[in-house]
Amino acid sequence: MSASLVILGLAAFALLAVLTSGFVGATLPLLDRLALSIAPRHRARLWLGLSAVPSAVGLLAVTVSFLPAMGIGQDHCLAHGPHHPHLCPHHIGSAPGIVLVLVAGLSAIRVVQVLVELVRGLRLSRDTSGSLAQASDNHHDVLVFPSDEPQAFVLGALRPRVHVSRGLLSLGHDVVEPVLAHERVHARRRDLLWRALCPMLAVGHLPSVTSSLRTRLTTAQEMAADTEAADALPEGRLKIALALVVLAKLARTPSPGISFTHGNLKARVDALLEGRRTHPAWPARLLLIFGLLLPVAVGASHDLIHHSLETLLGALS
Amino acid sequence: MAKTQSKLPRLGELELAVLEHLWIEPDADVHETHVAVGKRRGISPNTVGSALERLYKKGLLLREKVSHAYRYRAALDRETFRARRVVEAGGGLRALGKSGLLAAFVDLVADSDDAALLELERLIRAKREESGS
Repeated sequence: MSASLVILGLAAFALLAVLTSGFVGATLPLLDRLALSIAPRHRARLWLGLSAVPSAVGLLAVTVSFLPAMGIGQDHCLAHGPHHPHLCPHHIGSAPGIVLVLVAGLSAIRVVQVLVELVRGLRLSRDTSGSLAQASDNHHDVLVFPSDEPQAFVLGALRPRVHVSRGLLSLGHDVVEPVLAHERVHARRRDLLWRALCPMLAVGHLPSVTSSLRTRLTTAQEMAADTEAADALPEGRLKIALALVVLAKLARTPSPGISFTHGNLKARVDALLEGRRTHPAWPARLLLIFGLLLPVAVGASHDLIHHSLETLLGALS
Repeated sequence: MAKTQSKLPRLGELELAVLEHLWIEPDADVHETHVAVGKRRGISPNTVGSALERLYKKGLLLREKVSHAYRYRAALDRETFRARRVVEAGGGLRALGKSGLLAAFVDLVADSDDAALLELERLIRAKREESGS
C-alpha cells in the first residue's frame, strides 16, 4: 500500500469523523430529551455508543470506498482521470495536496495522543490503587485506608476495587450501607473501564463534543449505580439520596485533600426522589435498530460514498 | 545505615509481608523471618533473605550484625508507612479525578451551596415522612 493512499485514507477518515461529530454535537439537545425517557444504564450505553459514531462512520466509509478496487461494485476510476485523488490502490496517479497531508498527520497524531493518554491513565490508576491498597486493611471486598475525611471511590479500570476511608466508616450504618452498595455497583459493572475507553472510542469527535459526551456518560453511570444500589436496599432510594447530601455537606468543609467534580448532585437526588420509573422499551430498541442499520446503509451506498469522498478530497487537494 | 527516601518505593507482595512481620516483631533475622513468612509460601530462606536485603536498600529496614547474621527491624512504624502511602496516593487520585478515571460516591468539592443542600435534605426527610418510615 502506497504512502499517498494511506494519507488519503486517513484524511478521508478525519474529514468524515469531524462532519459526523459536528452532526452529533448539533443533535445533543434532542438526544438529551430522548435520553430522559430511557433507563440510566441504557443512557450510559447511548453516550458510549455515540462516542464511537464518528470513528465508526469514518472507518466504515473509508473501508467501503475501497470495495470497487476489490472487485465489489463498479470501478469508475479510469473514467475520472487524474483531476482528483483516487481511493484505489490501482490508480495512484495524483499525490495528495498539503492540506490533506496536514489533515492526515493531525489525525494520526490525535490517535497516538489518545492511546498514550489511555495507557498513562490505566497505569496511574493501577499504581494509585496498588499504593492505597498497601496502606489499607482488607475488609472482604473493601479496602479501608487511614484517613479521617469521609471518602469512598472505586479505583482500577481493569481490576476495580472499592476504597473507603476510616472517616467514612465512622459515619454510621445509614450512610455506609448505601455508599458501599453504590460503589460495588460501579466495580461490578466495570464503569471505570468504559470511562477510560470513552476518549479512545471518541477519537473521531471534536474535543468539545467528546467532553460533553464524557460528562453525560459519567452522570448516567452515577445515576445507574444509584438506581441499582437503591433497588438492592430497603428504602434504598431515600437512603442513597440522604447519604449523598450528608457527604456533600461534609465535603463543603474546606480540605486540602482530594477533589473531584462531576457537578451532578442535584440531578441525582432529584432522580432518586422521583421514585421508581418504568422506562418504555422503544427508545432503546430504536437506537439499537439505528445502530444495526447504519453499517448496512453505508455498505449499500458504497459507490456514492466512494465518489463523494474522492470529490471531497479533490476539493481539498 | 541505608538512607530513608522521601518517596516510599514500590513494594512487592513478599516485601510487604516481610515488613508486616517486622511491624509485629521488634527485630528478626533471615531464619526467623523465613519461618514466619516464607514457609507457608513454600519459598526458600534465600528468597526471604533477598527480600530483606531489598527492603534494607529501599530504606524501609535497619539492620545490625549480631554474631555472623544480620538482624533487621522496621525503619518506619506501620501507621507512618500507611499515612505516607495515603499522602502519596493523593496526587494520583487528584489526577484520576480530573481525568474521570475515578468513581467517587460524591464530589469531595460539593457542587451545591449550603442552602441548596439544606433544601435537598428537607425534601428527602419530607419524602421519608410521606412514605411513613
